[in-house]
Amino acid sequence: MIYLDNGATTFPKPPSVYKAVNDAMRLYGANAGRSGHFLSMKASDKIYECRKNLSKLFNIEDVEKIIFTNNCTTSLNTVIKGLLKPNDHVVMTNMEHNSVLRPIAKLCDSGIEYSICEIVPFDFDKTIDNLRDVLRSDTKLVIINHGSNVFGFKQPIERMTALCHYYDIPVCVDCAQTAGILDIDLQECNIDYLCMPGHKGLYGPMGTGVLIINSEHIPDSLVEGGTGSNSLQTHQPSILPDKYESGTLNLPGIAGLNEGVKFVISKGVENIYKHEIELIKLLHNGLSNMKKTISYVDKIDEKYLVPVYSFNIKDENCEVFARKLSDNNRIAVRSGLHCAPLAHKFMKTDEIGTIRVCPSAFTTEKDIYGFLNAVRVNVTK
Amino acid sequence: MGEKLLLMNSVTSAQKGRDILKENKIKAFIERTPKNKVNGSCGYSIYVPFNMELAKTILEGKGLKILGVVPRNSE
Repeated sequence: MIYLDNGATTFPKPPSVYKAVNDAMRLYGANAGRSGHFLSMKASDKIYECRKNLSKLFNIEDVEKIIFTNNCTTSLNTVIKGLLKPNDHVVMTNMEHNSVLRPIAKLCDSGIEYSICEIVPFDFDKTIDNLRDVLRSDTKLVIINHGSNVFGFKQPIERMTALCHYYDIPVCVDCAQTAGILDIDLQECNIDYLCMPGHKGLYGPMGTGVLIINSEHIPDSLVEGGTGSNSLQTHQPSILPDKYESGTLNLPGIAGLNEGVKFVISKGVENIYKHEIELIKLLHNGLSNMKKTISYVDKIDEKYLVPVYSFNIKDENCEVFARKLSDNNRIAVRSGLHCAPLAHKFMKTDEIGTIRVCPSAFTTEKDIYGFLNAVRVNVTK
Repeated sequence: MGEKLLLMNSVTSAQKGRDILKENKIKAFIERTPKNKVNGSCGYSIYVPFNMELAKTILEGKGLKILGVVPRNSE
C-alpha cells in the first residue's frame, strides 16, 4: 500500500498519537474543565499541554488565544461569521477552499460583498499588486489561503499581512496545507486569525482543529453553552478560550493532536518541508518523463510551492485513473475537484479535475518510485 | 486566618498561573472554587499554600486577571 492522500488526512500517524488517544480513553477519560477530581484535572492538563505545544510551534505567548475546534472548516467559519456584519466587504484569494467560499456565499445573502484577489503563481510581487487593487475602505477582513490544496501555490502571507495591516484590515490565514509543513511565526508575521486542521500536517486525529486568535478584534461565538466557568451567567463568557469552547472538548483527539504537534516539533518543520518537497521533485521529474502526463507547474520551486502536486493523464478521466491505482496497485491518491472551484477555474481544470499527490513525513522515495511505476503501467494498459 | 484561593476566570488561566508560579519555585495547585461572594459561581482557582501575596504579585505582573481571593473552604 502506498498512501499519498496526506493533503486530506495524514496517514499513518506517529505511534505516540495512537497511544495518546488510547490512553485518554482508557486511563483518564473524564470531562476536562468541569470537575476538580484527579481524572478531570489530568484531562484538563493534557488539553493545556497541547495548547502549550501549539503555542511553541506557532510562537505565540498567550495560550488562551489557542482555541480547539472540530476542524479547519469550523475555525474558518468562526472567524468569517463571527466578524463580518451586513454590508461589510471581504477579500479572499482565488485559491480558497469551499470552507471559505461557502460561508462567504451564505453571508452574501445578508448583504456581505466580496472581492477576489487573483494570485499570480511564481510571482509574489504581482500577487501583492492584485491584493492592493481589491482592498477597499470598507474591507473588514482579508482571507488568504497559505498553500493551495490543489496546485500547491504558496502565498507570501507575511507581505500580504503587512499590506493589509497598513490599511488596518485584519487577516485570516487558512493554513490547512501548511501547518506543520511551513514555519509560521506569529510574532513575526502578526497574522490575526490562523485556522488549521489537526489531522493533516499536525498528525492529530480527525475531528480536531485549531483557531489561533492573535488580534484585538474578537469574533462573535458561533456556538454558546456550558464552559465550566461563570456558570451563574446566562450569557456566554467573553474570556478566551472559553468563549469558543462550549461543550465537552474532544479529549482523545486533543491528546492525540498533542503528540502529533510534539512529533512535528521534534522533527522540525523545516526538515519535514525539505523531505516532502524533495519527494515532490522526484515525482515531478518522473511524471515529466512520461509522454501522456499533464503537469501544472514547469518546475518545483521551493520559494513558491508547498508539497501538494496535481497532474492529469491525457485522455484519461482522473477519477477512473485514481480508481485504477487503488484497485490495481493499492495506491491512495485524491482525484476530482478538490473543493476549490475557483482554483480549478483559474488553472482550467474545472471540467476535468486533477489527480493530487501529497506526501507526508512518513512517505519514502520508494513510495514515489512505486507510484511512478504504477502510473506508467496503468497508462499503458 | 483560613486558607485562601486565588480565583481565576477559567481553567486555562488557572493552569497558566500555576505554571508561572512553579517556574518561580512557588507551590501551586488548581482546585475547583467553592461557592463564594466574589462571583458566586463555580470555576477554577489556584491554591498557594505559602507566599500567597508574592504569588498574587507575580501573576498580576504577568498580566493574569485574578478575580479575587476567596476562602478555600466555603463561605
